[in-house]
Amino acid sequence: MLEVNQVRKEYHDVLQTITAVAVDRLIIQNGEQVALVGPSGSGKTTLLHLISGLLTPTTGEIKFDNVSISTMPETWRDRWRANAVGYVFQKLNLLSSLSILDNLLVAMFFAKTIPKKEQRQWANQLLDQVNLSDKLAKFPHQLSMGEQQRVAVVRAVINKPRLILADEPTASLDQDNALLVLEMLRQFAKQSNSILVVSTHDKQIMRQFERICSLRQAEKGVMASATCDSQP
Amino acid sequence: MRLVIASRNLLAKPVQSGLTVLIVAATIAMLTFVTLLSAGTHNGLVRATEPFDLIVGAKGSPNQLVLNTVFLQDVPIGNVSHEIYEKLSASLLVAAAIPLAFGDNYKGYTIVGSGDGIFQHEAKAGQGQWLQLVAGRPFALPFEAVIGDKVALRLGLQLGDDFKSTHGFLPGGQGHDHAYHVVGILQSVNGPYDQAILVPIESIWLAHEKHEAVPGAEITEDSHGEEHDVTAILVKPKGYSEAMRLYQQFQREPGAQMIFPAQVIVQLFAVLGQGEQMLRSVAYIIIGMGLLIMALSVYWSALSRVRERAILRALGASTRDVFTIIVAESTLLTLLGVTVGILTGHGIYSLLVRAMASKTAIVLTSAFTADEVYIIMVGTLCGMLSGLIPAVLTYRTEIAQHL
Repeated sequence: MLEVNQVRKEYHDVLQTITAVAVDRLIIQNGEQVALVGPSGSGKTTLLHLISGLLTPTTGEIKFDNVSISTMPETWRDRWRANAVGYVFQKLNLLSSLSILDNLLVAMFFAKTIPKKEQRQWANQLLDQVNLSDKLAKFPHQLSMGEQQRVAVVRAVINKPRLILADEPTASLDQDNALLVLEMLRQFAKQSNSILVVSTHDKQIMRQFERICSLRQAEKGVMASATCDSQP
Repeated sequence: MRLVIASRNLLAKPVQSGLTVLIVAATIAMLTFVTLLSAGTHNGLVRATEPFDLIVGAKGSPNQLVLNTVFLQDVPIGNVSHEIYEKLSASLLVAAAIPLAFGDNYKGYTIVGSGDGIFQHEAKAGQGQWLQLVAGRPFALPFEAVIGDKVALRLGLQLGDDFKSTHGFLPGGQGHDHAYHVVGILQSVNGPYDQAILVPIESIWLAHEKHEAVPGAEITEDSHGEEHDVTAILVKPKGYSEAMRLYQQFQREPGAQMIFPAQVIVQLFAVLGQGEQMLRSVAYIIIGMGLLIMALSVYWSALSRVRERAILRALGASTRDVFTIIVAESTLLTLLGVTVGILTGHGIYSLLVRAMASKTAIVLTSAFTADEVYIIMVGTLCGMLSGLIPAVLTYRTEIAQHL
């Protein structure tokens, strides 16, 4: 279970304090799939970074399975992120110097959840599921945007994470590819009973989810303060 | 896997990595070259003097005596009477006295008149003869010649060939009538005597008796044709104390001087020391700038990979993992640069050694020097430290902003 309690992330400028995101309370049960919606600048990416432990909140607490992520020592948080979190970044963030196979092997190397002997076979199997088994020796720049997106999805789920985060995973894709990628994510999450949080501002994508969490635009005086409401 | 990531990161940016390696290599090559040149010149000069424990020659400049006798350069100061040679030969302090006579050349290669004792002479006790034959035999009769390794190689002279010498130290002088007959070829001694043509000293006397009888012949200041006079005497003392006693005794000798060639070379280095010190200071500044450029290059190279590091952190790599990868990248770049630099430095130096060997009598030594170990260590450490700065910065950087 993911719990976000009274979380605020603030940045201090010379003249002012900017609130990037503010969430009173958000609870997502294991196996739940949630769309995170809101206009640009409403703090969707910041919230996903906070949940994944890439950022720590200025105030408040984030818990996963009753373990506080925000107060964890950094090394523990790194280990937790490697094992428990699968993240599809908005900019994909595939390692350009590595082949597709190596991109997947790197993710497994840090997580150490898949036995070393099985890693290549597992990577092949997942790439086969997304019709990319013939591309494993290619480099990211040699793939189309849709193919890269599918690799990013495979990398996010390869360690069988209990929490899958996807930041605008369909933003740069055409309608068919967008739905394909979303279906892949939902399928993987369902198979492993993982939490899936997908940020989007695409109404068609939103409609695929039973639960939508919306972040509202900032209040006066702050840049992007917002709250998150659960709408089961 | 960390090493794989590091190496792939470097390969992914070939131009940047290549330039960094190039800068490191250029710096290290320069350091290596300067070190080799300094050590090689010193060792080459000192090694050339090794066969010459003591030299007796006419009064005058000791430097000129060493240049002429050891390096076969410059003109002789003058002659030493045969009585001095006989006195030294009979001395109980002397193991061997070998007469030397200069004054003729063949196509620019110095003809050295000597006794057959020169073939028994040992540069260092127990290390065998200094001059060993690779073909033929030592000279036995007047106008027989034993030629140095480079003389044979460059002039194409072979056993059984004949040649005529000319007077003086440069080609184109007054020719002598009597031809020399090649009876032996020396093994390389890696020294000035590779460029010598050894003949019985009597040949020099005989050639000059006839030469001086020619009307209008040029008579040089050395006047080496006087019967039985020698240009210099190579003296092998029986031991160190005997050498010192001999040296003291010889201070009272009016017609000649005795010198320790090694000491003369050391004094020469001391005289050159001030100039060398200045050059060394300039070299240190260049080296410092080189190391700084190298450090900056490695630093920028490591800094430019900040996004890759952020991605790795996002995938669960610890700061320690990322630190290891950055240091591995910097170390790989530096080690590659250092290796290329050392090889390039040796390569350039070898070219110089060849060029020097063909143009001068000084044979620079070429061997791996202890200073190169320092160069490798300091260079690698410098590169690694340069990579440490961006590595440490990753601890402080908020990775989310780079994703």
